[in-house]
Amino acid sequence: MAPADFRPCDHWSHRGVSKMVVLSVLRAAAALVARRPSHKLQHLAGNSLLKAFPAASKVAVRHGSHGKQIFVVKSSQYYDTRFLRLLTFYTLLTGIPVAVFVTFVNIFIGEAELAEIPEDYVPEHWEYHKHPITRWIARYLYDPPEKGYEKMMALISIEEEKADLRLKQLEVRRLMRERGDGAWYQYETLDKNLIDNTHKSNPDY
Amino acid sequence: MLPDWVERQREKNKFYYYHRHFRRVPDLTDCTLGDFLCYYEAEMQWRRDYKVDQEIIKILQERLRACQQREGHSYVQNCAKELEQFKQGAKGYQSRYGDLGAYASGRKCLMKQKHRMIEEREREQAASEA
Repeated sequence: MAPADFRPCDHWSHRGVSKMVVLSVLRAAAALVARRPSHKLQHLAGNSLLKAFPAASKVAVRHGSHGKQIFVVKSSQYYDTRFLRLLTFYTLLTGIPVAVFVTFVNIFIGEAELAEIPEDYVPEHWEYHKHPITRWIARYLYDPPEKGYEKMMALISIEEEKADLRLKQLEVRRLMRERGDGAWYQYETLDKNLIDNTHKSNPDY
Repeated sequence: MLPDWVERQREKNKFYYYHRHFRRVPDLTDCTLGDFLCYYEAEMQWRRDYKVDQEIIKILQERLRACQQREGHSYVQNCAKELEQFKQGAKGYQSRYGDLGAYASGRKCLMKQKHRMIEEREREQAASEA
């Protein structure tokens, strides 16, 4: 690697070619570009970018950075880095306090030890869990599993009674209609005292 | 040093946890027809037993794994006992809970047992005839 040289294109001087020649080459190239016959179509299009540029190999270009690309053309990374920065910030905003809290609980309170249930003692439903945070959640936030079990049993018994009564009702309906001596299927008929039987006592002939 | 300090901190507030003891309730076969409460309790008991059997299989697997890790390359002859235990356990598990699927229930397991018994009886009949 050549050491940093702040005099541009100084390597020309030992070849006997002065800076002026390079500049004249550039000026000639610029004149060449300006004097190119402009095509009608490109004028009609109105976009001067459509004009062909001279081939890169024909134009002498000098790099002040000795060939290393100083102005790198690439898309902006500002929005991506901003997103990741904000993501980490908001995750850690609650993540770090929670992690610290759980660490302190694990160190200073610790997990429960397994023991046999003592005689004549019925443990509470949270005393069946090991970790202190699980115990706290089971004690203050959740219902005991016995409660859920009993609730389910209550629902089942209600539905069982409903189904039983519905079947019984169908059977009762059938029997009452068949036998006719029950409370249902009694239809009101005319009072027999209202019937005029006088014309019925003598035959028509 | 550090684990001892942690132990001393934990000694200050000590508490215990216990294992649940469930009473045995009548099975699905002991329930009268239409007694849905009995069905529910039998179903819950069957689910608990299913979980227990899964844990048993896991323990047998863990033993076999530990034995293989211990013995290294000579596990083929040294782990025969654990392998035999695991095979017996897995065969029993497969025959009882094998292809019941995700919606397994006590009723389906009972029906599977019924089919197993029918096949066994047919095999015995075929064996006694032949």
